[in-house]
Amino acid sequence: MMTTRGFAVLFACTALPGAAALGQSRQIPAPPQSRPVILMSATVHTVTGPTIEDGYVIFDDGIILDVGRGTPPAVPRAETVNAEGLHVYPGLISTDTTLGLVETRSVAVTRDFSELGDVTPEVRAAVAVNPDSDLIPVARANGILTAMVFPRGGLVAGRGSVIRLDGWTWEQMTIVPSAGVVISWPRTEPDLRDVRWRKSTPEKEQRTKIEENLRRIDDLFDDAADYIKAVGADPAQKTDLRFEALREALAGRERIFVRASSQGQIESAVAWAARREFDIVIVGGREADRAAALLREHDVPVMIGGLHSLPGHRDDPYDGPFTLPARLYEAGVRFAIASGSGAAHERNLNHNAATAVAFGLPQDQALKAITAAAAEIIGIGSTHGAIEVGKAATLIVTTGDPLQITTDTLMAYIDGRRIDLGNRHKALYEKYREKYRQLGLLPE
Amino acid sequence: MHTASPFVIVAAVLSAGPCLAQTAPVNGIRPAEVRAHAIVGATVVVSPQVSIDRATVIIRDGVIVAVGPDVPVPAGARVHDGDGLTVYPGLIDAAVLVEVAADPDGAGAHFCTRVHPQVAMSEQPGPDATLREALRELGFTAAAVYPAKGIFRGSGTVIALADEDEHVLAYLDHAAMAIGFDTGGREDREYPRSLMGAIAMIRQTLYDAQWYGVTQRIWREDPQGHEPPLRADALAALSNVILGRQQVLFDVSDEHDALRAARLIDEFELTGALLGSGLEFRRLDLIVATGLPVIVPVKYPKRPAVSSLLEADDVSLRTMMTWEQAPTNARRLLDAGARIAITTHRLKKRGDFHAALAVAIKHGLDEADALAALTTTPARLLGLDDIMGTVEPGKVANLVVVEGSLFEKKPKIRDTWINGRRYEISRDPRITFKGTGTLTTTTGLEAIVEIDTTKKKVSARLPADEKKKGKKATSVVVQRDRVSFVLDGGLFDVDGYVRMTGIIAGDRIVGNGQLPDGAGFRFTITPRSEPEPDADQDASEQAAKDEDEDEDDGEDDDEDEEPFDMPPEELVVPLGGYGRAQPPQPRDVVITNATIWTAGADGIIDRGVLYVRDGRIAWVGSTKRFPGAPQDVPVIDATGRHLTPGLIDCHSHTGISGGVNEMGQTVTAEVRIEDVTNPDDINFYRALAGGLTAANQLHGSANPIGGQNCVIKLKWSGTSRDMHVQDVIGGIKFALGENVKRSKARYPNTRMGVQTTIRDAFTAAVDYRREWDRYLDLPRRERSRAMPPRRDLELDALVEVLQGDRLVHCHSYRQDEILMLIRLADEFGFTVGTFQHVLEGYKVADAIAEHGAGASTFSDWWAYKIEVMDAIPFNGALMHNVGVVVSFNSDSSELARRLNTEASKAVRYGGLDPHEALKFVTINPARQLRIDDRTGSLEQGKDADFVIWSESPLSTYARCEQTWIEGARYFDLDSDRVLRDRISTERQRLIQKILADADGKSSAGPKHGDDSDSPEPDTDADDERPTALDRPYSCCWSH
Repeated sequence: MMTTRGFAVLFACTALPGAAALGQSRQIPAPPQSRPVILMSATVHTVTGPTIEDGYVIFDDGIILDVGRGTPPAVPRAETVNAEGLHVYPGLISTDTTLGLVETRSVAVTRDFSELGDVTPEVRAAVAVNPDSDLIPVARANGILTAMVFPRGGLVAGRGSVIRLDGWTWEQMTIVPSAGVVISWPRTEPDLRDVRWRKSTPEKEQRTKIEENLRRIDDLFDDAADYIKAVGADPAQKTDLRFEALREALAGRERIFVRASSQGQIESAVAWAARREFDIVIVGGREADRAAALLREHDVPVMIGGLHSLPGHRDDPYDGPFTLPARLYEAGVRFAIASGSGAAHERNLNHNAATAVAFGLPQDQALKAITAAAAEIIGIGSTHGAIEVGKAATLIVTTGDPLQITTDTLMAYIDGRRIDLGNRHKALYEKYREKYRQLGLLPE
Repeated sequence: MHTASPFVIVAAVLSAGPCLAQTAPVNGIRPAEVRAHAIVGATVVVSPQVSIDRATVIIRDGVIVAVGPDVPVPAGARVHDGDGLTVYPGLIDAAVLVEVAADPDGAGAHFCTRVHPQVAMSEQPGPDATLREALRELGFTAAAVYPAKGIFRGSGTVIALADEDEHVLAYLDHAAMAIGFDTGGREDREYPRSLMGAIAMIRQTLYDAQWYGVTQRIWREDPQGHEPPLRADALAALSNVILGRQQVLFDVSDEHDALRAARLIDEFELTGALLGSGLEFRRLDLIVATGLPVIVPVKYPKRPAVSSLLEADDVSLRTMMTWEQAPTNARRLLDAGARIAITTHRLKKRGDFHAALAVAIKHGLDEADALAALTTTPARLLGLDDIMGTVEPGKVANLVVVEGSLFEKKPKIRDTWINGRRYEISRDPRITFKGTGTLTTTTGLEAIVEIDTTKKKVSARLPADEKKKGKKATSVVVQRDRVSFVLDGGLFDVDGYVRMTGIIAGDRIVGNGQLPDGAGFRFTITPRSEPEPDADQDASEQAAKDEDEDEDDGEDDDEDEEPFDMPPEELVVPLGGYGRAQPPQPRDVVITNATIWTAGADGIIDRGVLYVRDGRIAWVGSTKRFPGAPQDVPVIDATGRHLTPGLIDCHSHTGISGGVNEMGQTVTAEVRIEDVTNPDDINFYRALAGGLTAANQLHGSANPIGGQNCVIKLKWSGTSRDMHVQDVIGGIKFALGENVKRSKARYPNTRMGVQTTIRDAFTAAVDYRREWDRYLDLPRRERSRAMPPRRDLELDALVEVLQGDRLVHCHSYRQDEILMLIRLADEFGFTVGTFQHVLEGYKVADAIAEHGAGASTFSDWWAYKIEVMDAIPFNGALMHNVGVVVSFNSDSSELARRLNTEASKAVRYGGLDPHEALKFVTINPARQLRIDDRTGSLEQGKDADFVIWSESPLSTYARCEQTWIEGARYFDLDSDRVLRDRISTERQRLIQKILADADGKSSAGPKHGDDSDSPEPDTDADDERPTALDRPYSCCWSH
């Protein structure tokens, strides 16, 4: 039996000499779990059940086998990790990100999240995820172990995929290859505000465009439904990949993620889904609280697109975006919280959830919004998001409340595999600390 | 006679006697119009204060020669019956803007195509016949005409609005110099492209004009030994402006631009006036305090669209309040003591002028004041009050003759007299017949008819059907005094139609008719023995009034009886949501039992006391040692709360109007952010709610040497001057790397070129300083004969940098460029103030520390472009540990609200002590901006700038509860709730008012939304647009 102190492993894997080249992360994917692990003497935050002081978690083959209090049962061959004074949480889940699909935002050739064309349901995120992206270990170092990556742009950008943030190839990383098609709901109200630098498009023109865009969505799904009927009935019907990509959604087997932020967009999307009996998730949901009754009635969850944004209107309360989760919670709408800040800054996911707490959301709900509730909304609720027997051993060991910026993530397991928490940033930090040690400006 | 007025350069001399145009030989018969006129028996409004009933006005040879009740009509004068008419002084439009065909170029032209002061409107075609006529129809007789476009646009002229073929001399050849802040469209890449650039251009041009004047004088007096100065017509044209002999007229688009114009006028000791926006009321006191006359438009914003619940969200309370209050603008300006003239300018349709003016009157503008603003005041402003503005002997015979009052929605203007010539606007009303009459025909019919010839309505019934409604006649045609109509034959007991055509003759209508069978008859319609009250005497008046009502769909029926819903008198600042009637005032207060993060030598004090007196920190320390404060000082118990210094953002672009970048040139050291602060930007309030009290307002990073920054405190509801921190060293933005080298159209395109660009600028500054030193070192006598160097605002700023009088804040990312600037600064002998962003600062922290520059960085941004791929969140802590003064900034109106948790990232990444980390957003930025002597830490004697937090400021759960600046509470949760409630109440009130207005309900006040017009550009939205600046990884030219 071998015991490792949590603190000792900090930076253990990171002191690599030299900075890695762009998009060539030096972190080595972990091998499959080879023997049972017992995390003990920790505070275990199960999220879905009670929090256990002096608790333990036992997992093997990537699956949680036991969760309990006090002295863990003996497990043959097990590695025991003494996590005294530390906290165990499920791995955090980024629900709306382009992680892996982009390296350097301003460099077009490193952007793989937006395909040409307005309607491209045929494209799927997972196949373009770069396992060696330097952005992934940066997110991981703050406890984010699972993500739903979305294509973006246009009316129908493609289909999102759920991935684990470790693996040699995108195939190894993929949990759900096709988690659902994403639609960017068009504007539903004209913007008639003239500003010094831009005159608004004439109202009539805008209203025609709105009508047109909304109709296009219906047309697309009508065309696809007819196509699928035709494929079943007529052997001469040729294949159309766009419509094929909508097959699961039309059959009600795949949910649809609808990017919608204004009240008008949200109501319009929910009404559309109700008419067509689709299972949808609202992504963004900036004004979701104002459509709360409708959302609750149709049990449509919301993936809040980050809290750190300015209020939409001059008269809005300064904390409007901050209090949105609390208001949705009070209204009984299910929700997850996304970082809303782009792939490079996924590591601030916890900060977004924490801001909701500062502005009225109970802490346990904020935590759920980036773990259990998030898992459920992206369709992996049965396997992820909580410390429960039978769920994936995808979890983190921290120095404290993961919603605090000052909390450090010391260990992470994805499917029981111990993950390297090093990254480009830590490596560069180490490299230049060495420079100043050499100069005598920092202590040895 | 005009010398007293600075407006006047050349005054046209008017004298009695034949016009000069008469020097042309006459071919044919000599015309000899009567040139003496007498308007007899009219009410004469001599001036806004004086009017005379039943008076006579005598005009001879274009001039008023007598006015009074008992003035005899000279023999031979043409007499005009003034009975029932009112004679007003001719109206004067103080600003009519006309586009000038082409910008001048060629020899002597300015390098900027928008600077053409040499344009003289008197040499331009001016308003065309249509515009002259349109103005005459409104009662205008004279107008000051200016070029419409440009920065320095050219000189105006004051003309008579006579027909073009009249060949009358302008009243004034050179009126004011028109100036505007025109920056061209988005497509126009010419410098200046920003508002601050336009202001800098105005400043530099005025200095250039001064300099040019001196060089001209020296050359004229003592040409020997001097190189002849270059020809500069543009600068020469400003010679009278800079001497205060010619006024300037600033065309401004909102109240803030008005104040910017006033500051320029003040700075250069010019004389002038503002061509207002109509939004002056939003910053009334400040505008009145400038003492400048304002030429006020009566254009009101479009009625906001609020009928859809969702779309109404896009309409801010500010927009609604602006709509409601705009008609009070002229009245408020006058009440506050401003001199105003009223103009037709800015109206989309000039024909709406009187209706718009009537709305202003309905909103409290006194009619006499309105008249003064259209006559005596513009006359005085133009320096022409000796010849126009009143109906007095000696004045030019410019008059408006109105039936009734001039101040109705649609005044019935009969004539406009210009230079003694009568322009007939509308003839006598048509000959009308209205009322109930008796129709008798030679067929023996007697019927009762209702006739209204104005409305072309005729109906008839038999006397037996007295109570019934008459049968309507069809096809009523009225031509002057002739009336034709067709009656149903039933009345005559025949089938078919009976046609009748008559003529109004005195009090009756007589004529002929024809029955369906072709038989003719004669008829007479006489008024019934009991005529309707006043039907006869006031028939025409009544008819005209009815007509009005008809066209207005009767919406203003009972206008005078319904209570008018006057807009609230008290205005908040800024107008709209979260505005306040009064800015917060400093007060003495003791805050006890707080955990105080001093950011000073005392570290964190548990259970501490902060005693604020006179806006400063009078005492800070542990509660146990507090000596106490006077009894009457209120105490706030802050048990469980944390107190920190007000947060300071060392990199902000919030509330900068008209462009954050001046991209027009590679080096724009002359532009100043200070000129374009918009204190009404709502993001200042939002930042206060996050504990921010001060910010470094920076130019963007589009060019290697950008503009001058300014340091502000977030005094929401104050003025921009209140916000600017005074007596502090200025700064300037530099920028390196990708942003500045990406414009393929201009040098530099590489980091090598960036270095040489900056080197070149400083080399020029060194030469420039030497040139000035040489000049100033000359003995007095020699200096007065020497050609002075040209003052260059761009190089002035760089000389200040060289002298250590201006801090460089340099946008930078990569270590090579950071080191490059350090070495360049070493070479030129100055110290860089801060490196901004400085994301690879951790790689050369030793060099930064040694040089003595500060580092103001993002806590954890990276990967948004290539030059930030090596950015690490440990940057701040590592630089700090090597000895650099480090701050974390926002560069974003959103992030500026959360700098406390940004600081906690220095704990997370790099393990800094929490108190040390908090310094990254308090005392360290204060040190970097050289304001640490007054703010940034909680220490005795400093400004009482502090924040009360619900818990540790580094906790993500912390909430800012109160924000104080200089002892005044600018934000707190309770007041915020009150403000929110007020917004919701006011929004509801205004939405109801707007809906009623759209519905034509008079209780809402006169309709004043001009539907046909585009809405007023929302200049606030400009400043509040969610720009790419707010996105951490966009590639805008700001970070």
